[in-house]
Amino acid sequence: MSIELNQTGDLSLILLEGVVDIGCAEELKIALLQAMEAGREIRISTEQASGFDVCAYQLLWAAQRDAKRLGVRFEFKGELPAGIEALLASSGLAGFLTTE
Amino acid sequence: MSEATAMMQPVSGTPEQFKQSFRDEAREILTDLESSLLALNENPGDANLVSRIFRGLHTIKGSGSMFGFERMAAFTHDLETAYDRVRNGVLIASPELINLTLSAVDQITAMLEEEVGGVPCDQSACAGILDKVRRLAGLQESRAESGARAAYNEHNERNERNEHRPEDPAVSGKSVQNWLIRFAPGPDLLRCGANPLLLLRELGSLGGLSIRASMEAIPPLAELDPERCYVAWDMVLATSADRDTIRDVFIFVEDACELSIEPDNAGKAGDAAADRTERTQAERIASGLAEKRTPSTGRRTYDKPDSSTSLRIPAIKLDHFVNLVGELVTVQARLSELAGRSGDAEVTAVSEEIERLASALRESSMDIRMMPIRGTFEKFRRLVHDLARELNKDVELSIEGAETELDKTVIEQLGDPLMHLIRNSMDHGIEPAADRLAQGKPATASIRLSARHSGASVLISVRDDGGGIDAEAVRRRAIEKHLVAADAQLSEAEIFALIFQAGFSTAKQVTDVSGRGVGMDVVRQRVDSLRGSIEVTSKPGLGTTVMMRLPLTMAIIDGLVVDVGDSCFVLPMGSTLECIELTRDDVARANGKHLVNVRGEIVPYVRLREHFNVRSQPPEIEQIMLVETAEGRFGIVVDHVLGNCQTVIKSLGRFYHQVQIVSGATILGNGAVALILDPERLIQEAVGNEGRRLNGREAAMTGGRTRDGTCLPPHRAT
Repeated sequence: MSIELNQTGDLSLILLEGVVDIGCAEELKIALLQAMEAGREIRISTEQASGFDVCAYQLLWAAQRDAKRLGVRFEFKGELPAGIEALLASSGLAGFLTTE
Repeated sequence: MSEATAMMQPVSGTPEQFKQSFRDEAREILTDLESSLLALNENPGDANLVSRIFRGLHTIKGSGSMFGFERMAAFTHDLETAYDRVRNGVLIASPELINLTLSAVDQITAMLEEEVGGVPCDQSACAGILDKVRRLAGLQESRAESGARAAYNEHNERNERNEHRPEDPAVSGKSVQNWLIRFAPGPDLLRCGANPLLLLRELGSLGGLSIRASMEAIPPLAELDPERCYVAWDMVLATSADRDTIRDVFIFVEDACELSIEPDNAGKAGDAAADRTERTQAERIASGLAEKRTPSTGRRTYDKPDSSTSLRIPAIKLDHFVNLVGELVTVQARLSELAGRSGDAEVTAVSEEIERLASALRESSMDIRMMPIRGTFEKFRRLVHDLARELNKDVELSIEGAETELDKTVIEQLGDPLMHLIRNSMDHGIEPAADRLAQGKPATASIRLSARHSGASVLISVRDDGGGIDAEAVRRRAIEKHLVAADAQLSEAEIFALIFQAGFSTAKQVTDVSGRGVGMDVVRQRVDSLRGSIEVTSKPGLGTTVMMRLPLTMAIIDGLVVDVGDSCFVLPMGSTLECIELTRDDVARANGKHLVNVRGEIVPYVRLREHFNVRSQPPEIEQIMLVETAEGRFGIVVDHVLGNCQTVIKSLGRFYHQVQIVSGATILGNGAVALILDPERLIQEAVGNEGRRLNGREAAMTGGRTRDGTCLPPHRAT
């Protein structure tokens, strides 16, 4: 798993790779907070992610809600992998994270 | 890591703590599985037992995979399918299937324990079991063997495609009901390694699931604890599964979550299945559940009456707690002593209050240690089942008093002695069916395990209706082995006591089960180490009963502090009946014999002063502590009774292991060390010494005995 934050101007791009779970939840939170403070637009790339747990999901959901409140554009780049989609769907969480 | 594997993976690096929790729960499930299988063997058509077995296998499989026991999950897959077929009436629970499943339970147990130092599971045996189960159940080779997770993945993939519903009403013919379920993980659930999303997926495998995630509790990002779960779920599940089956999905996390499972009396069965994605349905459910929930004073309200009041605690923590209580009791005794000496009323009042609290705490801590003996007893069903097959005997085990509680330390030590007794009974006591029929007995033999309280003791017995013990054969064998003199006059009880001598066996044939003379002496040693006693009664042709008398607790006792000269001793209150005076006149009236008349009953006594060779002068009036032993009442003569105390038993260590009349030591309030006496052993030793001193003179003259270990009952005065 890896979490990478790239900032260019107003755009903060967070690349998620591998299984994003409780093991890297603190790291993801820091990246999201930095992105929130830094720019006007946040983009989350999930194409390389292979798994989410509730920790990851909650962080992304909270960030999305905060961004909306602060007027920061928040998007997911690309499709969620099918495995993640299926798991979120079976947990009633599908649709909460909106992709571009 | 493949995507599929990653998705099945619980959150990163399953913590050993949670794995251990799984092991603890799984052990209980496996024990229950074993009992249910044995019960099913007796009652092949019992649908409840079949459901119970299926649920057990289902939980082991699903949760095993979740907590990293993939091999276990894969191995269990086909067994679960087989019992699904039994449940649906497609397959019969034949003795062969049951025996295979019992063997499978052994292998699953091995898989569970091998990481923590247990015997590794036998791979070839596992493969053989699966082959036979598949053949019996008419199953194709599953994907279980093609990879550790394959079977579980397959199971989940089928769930996602809404295939393979274990409770599919079309197959089972059972009616479908809607259940309103609220699942709110506790704050630490994720830190324990659990993944709620996998639980929900598992829940979905039981039927049609409509689900609504509640995100309201998620705080702003800056305040969010990234390792805490804030999401809760409200669901409706349309299933023919019962509440227990639904609850089993959450079995390993239910202590760390809020879980509510209520039948939806308003909703029509099947609504949810037909309307899985309709939000209004889920919202109706959520509001229905919200009405049922306790107002939000906190999240962890919990509707499970049978286990919400219980808490699983590692035994080591409990032992530590009891040790601390023991230390507190010791310090409190010192405080009482100091308060008494100070003469300060205020200090004395506080001391008494602390004494009261310490006493209550002691009783509570002892109560926590008390466990029903059921678990230990139930394990022997399997032993009897297997031995009966091995010995080709038909034996029925009955259990009485399984709810009898005793100290967990005692329970832990009981397994081996009981196993030896049952093995001996089955091998030597119970006759082959043909012999039984010839004697007019039923072909099916009976072994009865029972437990009951008796004062401060628990009586545990193993009783069979076999051929009984031939007392004369035992006596002859003992003489052959030079354990007793050829002309020794032994009572029947004394003869039966010989079977506990090391190396003693009357078995004509040594078998794999027993007959080597190893075991019964171990039984005696174990019972001795528990400060218990054991006795055998037997009638030729009718059977044998072995009765163990064991103390309720091993850690702290109520005691009476007595002194002899400058030495203090503690006698357990539980075995002390009363205290009477012994004057010089009383001694003179008995012509120097150690006998005293207690309200018409002649009671023999032991003088501690003589027994411990204390050289100081006794007081004019001594005290006799009357104690109840297995053989009757005896007196123990001391100088003074100083008072009662709560006594923490401290081991004397291995160096004094052979000093059996002392069961431990304790620290008194004044800081002095007092030995805790074992009245039973003390009497036995004193009587034995006296018997040797009299060199074979009639035991009645001493009010005692002929040999070590047995005592004549006191005489009734005429």
